[in-house]
Formats: sequence, structure tokens, C-alpha cells
Amino acid sequence: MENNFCVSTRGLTKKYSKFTLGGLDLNIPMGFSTALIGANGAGKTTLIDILCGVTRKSSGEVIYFNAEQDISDPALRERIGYCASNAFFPMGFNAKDIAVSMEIAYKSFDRQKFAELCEKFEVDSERTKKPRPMTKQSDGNRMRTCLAAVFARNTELLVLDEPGSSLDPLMRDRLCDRMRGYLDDGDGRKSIIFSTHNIADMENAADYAVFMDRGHIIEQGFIEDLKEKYIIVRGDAENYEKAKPYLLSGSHNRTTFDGLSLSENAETLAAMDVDSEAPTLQQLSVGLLKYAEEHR
Amino acid sequence: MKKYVQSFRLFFGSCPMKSLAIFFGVMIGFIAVFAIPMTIGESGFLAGFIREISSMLAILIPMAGVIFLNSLYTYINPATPGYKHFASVPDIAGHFRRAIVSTNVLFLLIGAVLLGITAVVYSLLGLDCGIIFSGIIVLFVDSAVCNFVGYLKSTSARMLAAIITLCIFGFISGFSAGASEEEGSLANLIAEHLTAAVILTVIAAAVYTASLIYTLKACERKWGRDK
Repeated sequence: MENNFCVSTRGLTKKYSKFTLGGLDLNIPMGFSTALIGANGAGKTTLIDILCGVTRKSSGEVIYFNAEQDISDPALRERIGYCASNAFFPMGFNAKDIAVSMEIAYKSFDRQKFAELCEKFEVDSERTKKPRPMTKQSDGNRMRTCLAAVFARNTELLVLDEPGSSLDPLMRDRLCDRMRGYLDDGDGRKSIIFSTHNIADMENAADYAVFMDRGHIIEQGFIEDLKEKYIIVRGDAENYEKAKPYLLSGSHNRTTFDGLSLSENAETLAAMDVDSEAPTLQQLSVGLLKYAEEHR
Repeated sequence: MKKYVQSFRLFFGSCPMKSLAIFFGVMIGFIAVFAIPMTIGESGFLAGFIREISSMLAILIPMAGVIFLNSLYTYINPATPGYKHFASVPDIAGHFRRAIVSTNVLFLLIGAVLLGITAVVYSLLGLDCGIIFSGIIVLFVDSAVCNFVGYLKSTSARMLAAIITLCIFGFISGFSAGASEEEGSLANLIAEHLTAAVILTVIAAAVYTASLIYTLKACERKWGRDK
């Protein structure tokens, strides 16, 4: 899989008056689903907006599909499907307006598929007698409509900004299935990048993870590899002080403590009567983000 | 031609024609309302009221089409819902350029048609048709103002520009109504100073043309490639 990346960045930077993203060096593998994980304000949306051409970068380079390309190239934009959280379409648009606008904007937009997906996602489609405008729909229904629009295109890279944040648990589960189906259909040539600050419900959809904090990448890698690299430890409070130097982050109370550590410390910690196990992605996220917060 | 219509629909969706039809209906109804009191019977109050309102109406009608033009320019603002959709579309600069042209044409068409209808109604009612000339000037100048200030981030600033334009032309309208009393009507005043009127119209058209050139160039800077 050498150099087979859907997106690579070198020194990517975006400067605002009160926030700077980067310089980011990122390699997102092709054929997989990548989760951008970070707290609010970490820079996930800024990164996504730069990748999709919505925001201009201050410096650095972005390479798409292993070839240097300019995101303003219409042919490249046709290959990328982008869906942002909330208010993605004009609030006065209804499903029919969205269908018209998308059909004009993108050559591969399938209007019939959009209508079918809207019906599957249980939102107004252009076949609905009087489709309601976005302004009269809930946040969740707006996101469902946006997702229907982006999945109705033939793309090679899907970039979804917090797709699960306004969805109910059942719909999040359906979304994960649809994302898996999208990757399977691509046979290794389609990829997904999605951002989330709540990985628990989207864990099944992610293969690769990039952890961000305050505009910087603090860790990235395949989730299975990261689960082997790190361990979650638990022990009695009396052993906390002995174990603390080996913890990246943790919490404790009067009786017990738990935390995140590197796997290489497992034996040393075991000798202190501290138990360890492979972390879930949620535990890994919390542990790494806590570590970043404490070491700013 | 088709590309220009498509780019317009990209920003306004499926049924701008329906909105346009409703808008036309409302404006024509508004104009027709003035015909009713005049036909019902003679009333000094009503006749005077309609005469004074008619000068304001001819100024307001062309500015009504500003709705579409302002809507288009709001999509440049990242805070506007819909911005991310349009900003990520392939060849958005090309689409926006064509949408500017088609929306400007629509704006002028709406204004011209409504002014034409107003002229017919005024002549039937025996009102001073000279005010239609002011409407033509306002049509060009208001479009130009929309184009020049369209890229301002602040919606308040754009609205302020539109209001100031309205106030200026309201003043000019009142001034010209007063100045025309000696000649009997504004139409007579214009006929007396035809050369000046033509020059004024040409200047207004030139300002409008300059605004169109400016906005089309600015469009490339706004949506164009990374520098």
C-alpha cells in the first residue's frame, strides 16, 4: 500500500486571527474509511473545508489520489462528494430545488437515486406532493437529505463533516452500513473521510483514525494498529502513584484509577498489579485527547 | 443561453418562475389598485393622493427586482446557509459569473416590463408619464449599486446602500415633480430638455455597464483559483 493515499498533505496551514491549523502532514489511505477525531475547535471542519475547496489554505500542499492536483479543477471536484453539518443547502430549498441544483452542478448526480434515498431515509423527496423547504425541517432531516444527495453521486472520495451529530442512533447505524456499502462497491478505489467528536456511535464505520487537537495532529494510524499500540489500564488507588509515570493520561478516585498507556509498558504495569486491555476507539480518543490537553 | 439559465437555477432551484409569477401578480395588482379609485368616481383627495403616490411608485417598482440580485450575492458570505454547497461545486466561478449576468438581465427585464405596464396605466389614468423616465434611471443605478456592493460581507452595509439609493432617488423624484410644475408635467420638462435627459440615461447605462464589468472580474477573485 505504499503511496496509495486518497489525500496527502505536506505542511498544510490555515491561519485565522485566533486559530492556526497546521502545519499538517497527513496521509489518508485509499480504500478505507478515515475518522477525524477531536474536540470542538480542534480544526476538523477547517481541514475538511480546505480539502473540499470551500476554504483556501494559507500554505502547504494537498495531493489528491496520488497526483498533485488543484482542488479548483472541476474534474477533481466531480470525484469528491462533500456533505457538511447543518445548513449545507440554502434554507429555502426543498428536495426538488436540491435535485435541480445538484443535477446542474454534478454530471454524475442521479436524480432518481436521490429520490429513492430520500424515501429510504424517510425525508421529503421531490416525489413528495409538497416537499417542505429545509427551513421547515429538523436538523436530523436536513442531514438525511444532504446525505441522500451526496450518496446519489458517483464519487471516489466522500468527505462528511460530522454526519452523525444530528442523527438518531438508528439512522447512525444505517449510515455506517451505507458507508461500508460505498467502500465495498469501490473495491479498494473508494474512500471516506468523516469527522466526529463522538466516535462511540461511528466506531463501526472507521478503519483509520486521525486525532486532532488545537489545529495539530496528535496521532494517526489504522485503528487495529492503534489498539495494539495502546492499552487501557485499571488498578487500585494504592498503586496509582507507582503507575503514574507510565500513564499518558488517566483519572483516579479514592478506590481505583484508570488510564491510557503504551503497550510496551504492559508487563511493567502488570508487575504492579495493574490490569490492562485493548482500548475501544472511544477510550483511545478520550485518552489521547486528554494527554494532548494536559501537555499543551 | 441554456448555460445561463442553468447557472441561474443552480442558485435559485426549481421554481424561480413560480416566485416570479407571484411577484409579477403582486406588483401588477399593486399598480391596478390605483386604477380603481380613479374609475370609481371623481374625488379631489383620491386624485391628489394617486398623483403624489404615482411618482413614488415608478421609482419603487424597478427596485423591487433587487430581491433576486441581493439573494445571489448573499451566497458569497460563508455564514449564509448554502455557501458550502455552492463553494464546493465544480466551476463555481463560471456558474456565478453566468448567474450574475442572467440575474442582472432578469432584473432589467422585470423592471422594464413593470415600467411598461405602469406607463400604460398612467397614460390611461391621465397621470404624468414623465416619471417613467426616472424609473428607467433608477433601474440602471439600482442594479449598479447592487453589483458594486454585492461583495461586501456585511448584509447591513448592502442594505444601507440600497436604502441610500432609494432616498436619493426619492428626493430627486420630489424635486423633479416640483420643478415640473411650471411646465405642467415632468413629461413636458423632459421634452424641453431632451438632450440632458438622454445624456443622463446614457450615464446611468454606463455606470451600470461598469458595475457589471466590475462584478464579473471580482467574481473570479472570489471563487477563483488559489493564488
